[in-house]
Amino acid sequence: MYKASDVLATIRMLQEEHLDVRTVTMGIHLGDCARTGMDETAEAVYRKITTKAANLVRICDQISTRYGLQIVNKRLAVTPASLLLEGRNRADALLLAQAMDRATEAVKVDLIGGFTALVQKGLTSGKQTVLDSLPEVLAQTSRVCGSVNVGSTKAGMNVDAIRMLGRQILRLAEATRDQHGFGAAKLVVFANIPEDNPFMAGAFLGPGEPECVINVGVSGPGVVKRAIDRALEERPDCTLDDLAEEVKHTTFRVTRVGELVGREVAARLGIQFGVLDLSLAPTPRVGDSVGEIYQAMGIAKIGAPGTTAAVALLNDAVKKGGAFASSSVGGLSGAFIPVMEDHALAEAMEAGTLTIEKLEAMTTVCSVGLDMLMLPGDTKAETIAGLIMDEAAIGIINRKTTAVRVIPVPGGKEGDRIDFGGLFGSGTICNVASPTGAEAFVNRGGHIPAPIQSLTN
Amino acid sequence: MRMNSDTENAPCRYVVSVLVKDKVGILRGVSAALADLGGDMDGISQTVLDGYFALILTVTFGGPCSAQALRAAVQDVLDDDEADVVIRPYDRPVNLPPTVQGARYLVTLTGKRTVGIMKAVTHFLANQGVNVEGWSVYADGARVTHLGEVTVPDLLDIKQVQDGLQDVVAAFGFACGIQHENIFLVTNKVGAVRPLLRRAGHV
Repeated sequence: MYKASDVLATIRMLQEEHLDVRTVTMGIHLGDCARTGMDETAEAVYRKITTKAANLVRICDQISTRYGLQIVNKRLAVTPASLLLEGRNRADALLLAQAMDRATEAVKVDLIGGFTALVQKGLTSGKQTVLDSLPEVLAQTSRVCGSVNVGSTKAGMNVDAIRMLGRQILRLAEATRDQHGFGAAKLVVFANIPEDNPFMAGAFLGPGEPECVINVGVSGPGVVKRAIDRALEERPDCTLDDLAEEVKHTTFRVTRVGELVGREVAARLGIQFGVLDLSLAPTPRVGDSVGEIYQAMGIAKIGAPGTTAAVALLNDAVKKGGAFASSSVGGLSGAFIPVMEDHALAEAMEAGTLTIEKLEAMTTVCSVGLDMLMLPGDTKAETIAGLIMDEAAIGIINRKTTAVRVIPVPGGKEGDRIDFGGLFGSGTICNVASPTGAEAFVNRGGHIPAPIQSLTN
Repeated sequence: MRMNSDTENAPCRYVVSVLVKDKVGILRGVSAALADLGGDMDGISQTVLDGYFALILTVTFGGPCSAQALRAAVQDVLDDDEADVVIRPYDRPVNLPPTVQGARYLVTLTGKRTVGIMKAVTHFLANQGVNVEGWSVYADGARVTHLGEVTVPDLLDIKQVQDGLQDVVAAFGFACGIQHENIFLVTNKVGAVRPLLRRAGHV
């Protein structure tokens, strides 16, 4: 016997508040695709991806129909490309990436993550090839996403790799000048990268993962925002702990929807279910915004003092609700603050209430980092490297994932408005308060040692 | 003709239904009447709709009990000449298979109150072989919400059922949904997800 109020609450979440499964991401191990020649390796990669993922979209669509629930994206994540590029050159890297791109298109998936290198402690020839080839690979493919892990709490920070990435991000943006540097939106630089993150552009299949696995990313900022609205309508004087409780209960429900879908997709495909990543991932739609949640809680101007505390409250309550709902919670699990993909955050940047420095403070307590942020075209490589170092430092010291995904817009000036369209959204080019002044520090290069927090054994 | 002693002492089971104006103590009276006759109520479904109390139950007696005696006892405790009491010997087979072999879905219809929506929807569902096992209607001013619990045969393509139902209700200006029950269970009940999937045969 069902209570009408429960049923209608579920339908309201699905139909009016944009509760959806943001991504079902299939992880595919490609280690066994290595062949003597790169042509053969690329062919083996194509065959493996098209075989393993042949039914992914069809099964997701069937389950979506059964539950009346939207599964927005079906995506792929593969073994770090660096492992298949040991002893190879940039041309080989492009061959591999093109095979990944074609295979992804063949199975009707929009993005594949895994053009990846984990360089926190140093480079190998394969990792060097990944870093060297990032501009052409991400500019000349449409579905391939890249990620580089430059630091970890256990290993410290590879500043040499970060300096190189500062330059490569500028080259990548330049290589996609006709798209306002959009190529840079397909590259994320991490510290403490999770091996099972289903969200793009940072998804890849970590070395500890199985042969093939389904990881699910669930979202629902609209559901959380409406829950807060209702709590405030019922009790206008409710306190922040009341709101935290409301968020926790709501995320519990959202998380279980993801587990239901993820386990069923995995079972239908005959592969392992991995993790459920409950991340409040916004889209540019009104009503699907993390920024609107802060506004609902009382932050009228996002970026005003108190905003970081609001992020902390939200991120913590999301994690608690998710942890109670499922023992398979992993990935990033928290609240994203991707500026361009969230209309409320983008508007706050445009209005000047939210600055890059404040965003950086917010990333100390959110689930990721500086995400989908446009910089002026004349930004120096050292400035980008410095931003990455600051974010990596936050992650390394606080034992959390942090990331940087910035887009230096070729020819773009501070205040220019750029629209990437679709889920990538639009926004205003912004700048740091002091774009220069740390070059000497950044250019010393080397390695920042692992912090004392790493000595846990 | 003389009955043998086995037949005389055999357990008997009845299905009983009661429709009466609602008041406090109806269920107490009926359960007391049945217990006093030695009956064990082994299934009950009861509701109150707009001031009317409706009850259906099954009751098993360890020995003989006539339908007349049962009716008299129930009528007596109801103390209402307008009460409708139906007594039927229970004659369904043991381990009765479900009327329809399939999966449980919830149907929701929302729109402005209108004549004929139930006729059209149930006509469509019955033609598809979909069995309706529960249906409630909630009114909020001019708007109504229907909530139906149904079993959809395994062989049906749920997308076609959804599209067909959509066409039917669109003519009445209604919105509709037909979704597997697990989506409602995971969002409203505390408990592990895996058993739900196993029970539905989805893993």
